Amino acid sequence: MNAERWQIIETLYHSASELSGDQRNSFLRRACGDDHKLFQEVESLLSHGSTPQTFLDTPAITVLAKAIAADEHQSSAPLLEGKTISHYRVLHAIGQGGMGVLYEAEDLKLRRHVALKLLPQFLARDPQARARFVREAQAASALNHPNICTVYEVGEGRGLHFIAIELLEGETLKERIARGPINVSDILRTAIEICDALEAAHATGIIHRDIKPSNIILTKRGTAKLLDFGIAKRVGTEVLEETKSLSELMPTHLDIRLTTPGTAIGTVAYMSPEQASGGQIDARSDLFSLGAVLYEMTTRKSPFPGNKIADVLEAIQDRQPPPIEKLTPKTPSRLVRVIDRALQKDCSLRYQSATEMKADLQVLGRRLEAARTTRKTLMGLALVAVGFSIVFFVSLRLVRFRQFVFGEPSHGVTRAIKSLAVLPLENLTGDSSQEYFVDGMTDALITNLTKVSSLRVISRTSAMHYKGTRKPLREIAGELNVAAVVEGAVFRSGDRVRISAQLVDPTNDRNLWARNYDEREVRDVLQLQNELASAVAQEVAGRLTPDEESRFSSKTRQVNPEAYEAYLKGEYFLDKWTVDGFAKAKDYFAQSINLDPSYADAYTGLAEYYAIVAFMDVVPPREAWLKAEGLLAKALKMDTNSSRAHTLLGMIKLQFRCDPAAAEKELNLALNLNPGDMHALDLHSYYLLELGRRDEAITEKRSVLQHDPLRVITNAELGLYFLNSGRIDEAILQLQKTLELDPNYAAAHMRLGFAYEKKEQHRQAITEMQKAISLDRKPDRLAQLGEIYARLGKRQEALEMVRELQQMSMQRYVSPTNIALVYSRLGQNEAAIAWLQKAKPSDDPRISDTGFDALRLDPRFKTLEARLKPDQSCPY
Amino acid sequence: MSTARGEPAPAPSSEVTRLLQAWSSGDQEALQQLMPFVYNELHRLAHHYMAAEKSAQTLQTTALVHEVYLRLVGVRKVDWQNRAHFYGICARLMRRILVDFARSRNYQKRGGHFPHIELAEAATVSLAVGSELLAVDEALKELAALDARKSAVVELRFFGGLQVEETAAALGVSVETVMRDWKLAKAWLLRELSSEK
Repeated sequence: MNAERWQIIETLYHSASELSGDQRNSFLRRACGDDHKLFQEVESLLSHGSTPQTFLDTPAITVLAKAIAADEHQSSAPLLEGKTISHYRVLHAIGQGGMGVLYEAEDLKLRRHVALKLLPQFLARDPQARARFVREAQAASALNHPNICTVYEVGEGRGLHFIAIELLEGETLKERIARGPINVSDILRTAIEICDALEAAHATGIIHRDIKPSNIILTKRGTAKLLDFGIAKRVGTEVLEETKSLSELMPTHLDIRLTTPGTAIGTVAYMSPEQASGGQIDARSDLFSLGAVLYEMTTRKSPFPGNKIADVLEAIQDRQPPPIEKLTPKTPSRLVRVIDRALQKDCSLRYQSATEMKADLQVLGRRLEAARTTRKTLMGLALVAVGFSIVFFVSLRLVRFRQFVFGEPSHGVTRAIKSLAVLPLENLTGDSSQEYFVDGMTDALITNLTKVSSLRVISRTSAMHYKGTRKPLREIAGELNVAAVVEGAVFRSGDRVRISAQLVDPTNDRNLWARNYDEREVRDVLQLQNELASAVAQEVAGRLTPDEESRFSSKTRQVNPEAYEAYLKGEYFLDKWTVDGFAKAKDYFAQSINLDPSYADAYTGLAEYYAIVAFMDVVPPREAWLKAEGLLAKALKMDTNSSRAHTLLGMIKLQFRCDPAAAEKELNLALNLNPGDMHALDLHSYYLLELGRRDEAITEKRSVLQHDPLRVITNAELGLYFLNSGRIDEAILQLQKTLELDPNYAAAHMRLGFAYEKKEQHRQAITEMQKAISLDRKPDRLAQLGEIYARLGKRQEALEMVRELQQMSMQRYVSPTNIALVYSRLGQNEAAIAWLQKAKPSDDPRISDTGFDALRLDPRFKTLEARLKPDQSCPY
Repeated sequence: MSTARGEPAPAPSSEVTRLLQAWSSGDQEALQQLMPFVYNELHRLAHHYMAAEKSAQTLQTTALVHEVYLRLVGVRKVDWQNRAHFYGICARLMRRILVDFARSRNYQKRGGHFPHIELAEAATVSLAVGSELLAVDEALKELAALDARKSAVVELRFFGGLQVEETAAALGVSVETVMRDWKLAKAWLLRELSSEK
């Protein structure tokens, strides 16, 4: 056939195929005319082309694969039953393994039932497949472990290759996941067992490379058994050699199982990123896969979902799995963290060994166990008084052991710790109304730890930022600049409480220390807090100084549980920093005092309430100060060691009594009692600033900030300290840093505005101040911006500020000084004097402000000055 | 385990790319080295069908075959032009290897040199399919003489498992052209195979 004729055929074929039936026939007859051969040719093509689905529509490789599979099915199963292969009598097929068909068989020599795995025949012809089959047997038989399926024998009989393995009754983890949710303790048990199996495999240099739910069998007793070392690989000296062989480079384990048509899930879903990209694989790859399995056990969803394998592979390499707590909100956050860590894309950020992962899982397991026993106890089971018994975790021993084995100095790991953060303890009570109690415990732990002078302990404001966080510890530690992190959990029910805590090295998430404090009564909670803090302190600081010792050993008294409760609620509401919260706090503190009139902390709490409301002008300040002072006197009479009471008293001396000497005395007492009491130090720095000892003030303020790096107010205050000390560049930097933490903190914008103004950068100054005003229209801010406008000759803008201030004064209190200052700056002396005349001494007249310089020659100003000059005595 | 953490091995994709290039420029050694890749893929799929047999599930084969390329050359990292080029080479490679496989299987079935496997007498399906595959290969050679582009379309679609769009890109023609070519070539081949010319 020549090309021309073929072309004609083609044209006719396509034209005709668009027509149907009779039309097509008549069209062809007309077109072909006498050329019957042409007609026949086109027609026969049309008839063959009308078959809707032919085998050509399926890719050749699939056609062939299906044929091979059909052969295997036809040939093997029924024919084998009852036959004997070597010394095994085949009973019946029990499943399809990754590398072959599985039969139950009887070992005729040992009279036991085994599982016999046969290499499919089409694979038996392939030397590589045969080699792999044998390798599986060898890899697994090298491992004798309760959580690894035992391999009895690898052999050949009747031309068939087989492996005889332990017959396991139960279900695969895949089936278990499909059956329904798995409770956390079962997840942990399986996870720990598989970690254990991997630990053993990795120790002998074997990487499994195909960890997935269908390769884990849960026996009827619930024990997990790891199967299928079919693609396991030995690492070590052979690695380089092996990677040169192409068969090794091929990801052979990609046996895809589709559960529903069109949804491609399968073992790709459990591959590590380095497997997915064909990179070098080591033990950490198995840990990733285990992480994916745990994710699925927890959420019953794949961490890397996708309809196409390409999508799944891409997700493994580039995407974060959907957050577990969104899918299964009740998952303990520590478990979430373990899974997150195992699923790190970068293998250097993952667990570095199965041992490490197992240790974390075990700690979590014990914690849950602790919570559960408490629950049991409360359910009315026999209550065993556990007193001061302390349970050391195995992980602690492991650390010690490791140090011993690897020759690290026995006190080396924890000795270097100079800074630490206590993360908010976890509430294991499962009752969010117990939050105040758990937060109270966190607070107490922080306060107690600050007794160690050599240790920088992050203050609660910064620590509380991480409540319920998913951030890796490494990141948290980086943000807070600490060398160690304390994590823990509190379980409380009625008057019983349990705490567990761990000291963790954030660089590798390793537990340096862990302790579980068994049930105590709430009345002994102060003792418990003290013990816990002292144990952590000893661990990080090594030997405590005698002073520190005495701080920890100072006798803690029992508390009335109800009074303690009321006190904690008071603290909780005080911390909310709302008018409503203050009122509630006051009631709870009062309640606490009523319940236990000898409970010093409750008096101090109530005193703090009064001090705060005095500052905030919620109540007439003088009375509030007096009340606070009286309460503190009582508190200190009962407990002279309360650094907080001394600090508050110091504040009162400074602010209310205007007695810096007395203030300093109290603050020093507080700092002696607790060198890490940041309230005391903060106040002391303020005291120094007031005295004009600016550099010292800044040094102390910086130290406060190091303990509380995320607290916005402290950051902004340091900015102010710099500004007041004329260290403008540092002020600008510090305030910019503050605004990174909270871009909407008005005071920081305002201060930054002043700093720019000092540097004559007017445009920036105005921008910042406008921003501050837009966030919070305080009258003094309007006035300060107005003054700047006036100084820069922007009369219209300045007058606009005055207008707004005047308007504002009809609705709320605006000090007349504010308006007078802008007028004075504008040169409108009459108006300025008029407004100043309205001012009273309590209006903060700022009569010496340079803004009034233009008025100083006016005799009326002299009179005003005399009337408004600041009271020598205290304002109160 | 320390050695395993050292230098990463060259990605298999680059190795395969090199081999594919070598093969397409006539290096028969390369073919030998490439064979395991396709065989593995075949085995993998066969396994799947074996496992899925009971529940009579079907696979979305187009999506699956696509994965062959993904794994062969890591297409995610290859630009479209190159990808089209490699699709062409891959399809040719798969044709060659699959047909060889079918041929060797037929040969063995007829009492070839393989060790006698007592229990495997009933392997008839693959025998039939194998012959069919060989027949397509033969017919395709004839089609190539008549219309090279249509033959190429069949090679890409059937042996390579490519989608219409990818075939179009590989050949540098429009999607419509591929669809028309595919339709006619299929009709032609089916008629050829039914041997009622």
